[in-house]
Amino acid sequence: MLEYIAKRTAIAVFVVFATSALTFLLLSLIPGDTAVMIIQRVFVGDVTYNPSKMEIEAAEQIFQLGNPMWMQYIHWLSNALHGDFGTSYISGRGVLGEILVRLPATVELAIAATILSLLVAIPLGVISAVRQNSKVDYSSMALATFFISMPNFWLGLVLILIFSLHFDLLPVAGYGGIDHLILPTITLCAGMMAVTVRLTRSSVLEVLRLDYITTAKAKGLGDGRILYRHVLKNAMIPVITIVGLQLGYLLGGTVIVETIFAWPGIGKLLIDSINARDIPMIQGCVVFIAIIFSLVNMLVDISYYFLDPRIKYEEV
Amino acid sequence: MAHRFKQSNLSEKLPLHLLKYKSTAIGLMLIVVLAFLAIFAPYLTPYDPIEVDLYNNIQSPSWEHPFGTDNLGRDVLTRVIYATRIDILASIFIVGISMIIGISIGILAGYYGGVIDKVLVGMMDTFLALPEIILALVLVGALGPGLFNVTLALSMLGWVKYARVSRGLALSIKEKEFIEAIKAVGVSDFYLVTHHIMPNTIAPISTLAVLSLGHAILSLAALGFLGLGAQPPMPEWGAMLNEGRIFLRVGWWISIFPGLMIMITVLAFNFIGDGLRDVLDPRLKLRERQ
Repeated sequence: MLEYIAKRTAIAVFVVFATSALTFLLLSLIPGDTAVMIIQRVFVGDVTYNPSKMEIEAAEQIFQLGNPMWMQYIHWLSNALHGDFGTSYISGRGVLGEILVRLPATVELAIAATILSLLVAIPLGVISAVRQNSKVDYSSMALATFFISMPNFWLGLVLILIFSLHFDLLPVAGYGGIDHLILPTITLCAGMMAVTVRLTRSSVLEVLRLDYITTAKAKGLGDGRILYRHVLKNAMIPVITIVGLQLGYLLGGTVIVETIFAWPGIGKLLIDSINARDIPMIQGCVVFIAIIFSLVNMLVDISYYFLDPRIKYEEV
Repeated sequence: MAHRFKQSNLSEKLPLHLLKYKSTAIGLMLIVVLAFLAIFAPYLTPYDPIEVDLYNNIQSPSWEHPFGTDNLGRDVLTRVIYATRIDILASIFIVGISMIIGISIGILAGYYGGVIDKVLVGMMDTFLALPEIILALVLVGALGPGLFNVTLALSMLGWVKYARVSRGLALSIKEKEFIEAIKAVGVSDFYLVTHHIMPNTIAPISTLAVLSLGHAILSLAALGFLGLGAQPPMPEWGAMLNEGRIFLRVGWWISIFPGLMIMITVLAFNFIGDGLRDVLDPRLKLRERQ
């Protein structure tokens, strides 16, 4: 078990490093004179400022811009490991600080969306499976197909149109109390909910067919007892996998949802930085997203052990 | 309560199957209509998708403009129809390129095994370890915004799922006896792969490809919506939604109709993909019938 956790942690760390290197490489392709950009934005704060040759050379010296790519990356990496992710070209403030200020908003949104989607999707999926081919089953499957095909940015606009502009019940956008959280959460979790309903249903159906369920029935156990003690416990394992995988969807989704609802999270920060070509900030955001994603995937993988002792980790 | 756990037999399942095939038919019909719209766009509408007509800006839906007009007075229906061309062609391109890259890498890894396999699988795992849209954002951030760059970025990222599937297939097929027999005859690896392994991957890959078409349209439109894809005045569904977003209060139709088109298209591809899976993968169907 410990060996598996160590191995899994090593993979997660590798992924974060690989991502940071790949992002660094890609971002170095962005055209434009980095030294001039840094002087204008970070030091002078005036984009029309015309730096002298000496200033450019000094900046190149300080930020080691003349060095080969891999040396620049090592420089960035060693700074990052010491908690210095560089300085934003736009605001001139530290990247890490800005990300940490934005992070809670994204986490809040992601947790709210996960909770809402599980609260709705798991009961609905179980009911659909237990009452297979009933009206409930058909309508929840039809709804799921519908929501999987729906672009979340469109859903967000429709929700704003109905609940904010037409009925004036909820705020159009912004960050604040619980009323600000409602529409972004629904927008973010709709697609995830649809996938989870489908998966829970097929997973429960699969377990219902197994021999030990027949045995349990033959023993004369009640349906409720079979469902809770035997079916759900086993059916939830693939559901947890998907919830882990869905986190990727969720992090991708926050980029869009935060943009629609002007939610001050890391996703909006990423988009703003991409539009402004703020290279250190893009790099920082991507690395942070990679860290969150790898961490959660790792925890999901490890949690299987406690849920399904049949899994042998030596084989993984 | 007990009967609820009863195994359903085939006759009870039949409606679900019919429903599935009906939905496949609906999906095919929708795609035919969309293809018709894309091909005959200039003959279907009297308006120009790009030309600005400020006297008629933000008109609500009417007989002359069934989907209304946008902030620059352009007919939204016309733009939606022209956008069909761009979105569907771009998504076919994305899926095509991803398939070529993915199948080549997958078969290479599965057929040769060893170190090549290890390296390629490691690469696949790294790509899978991050959300696709985040990688796409970085690529587009580096390449710069624009329809071509977005299409390129998504083509570069979509290959992993094909690689995984074709690697698995190549692995299982190469152990089959008929491959041993063919090898004994002395044909080249290239002939063996193109004539005996690839044909066996068509069925599972084509299901995946159709389902990915919907996914590609969603990603393309999402990047368009973020302002990174097609740039104005090009009519693309996601970009149209983005342009109409600020006019939501005064002209909901500018952004709602393009989104509806995205949904219909994705739904159609998903319907066909689900149907294809049932027909082409009898194992799945069998399992469901048990």
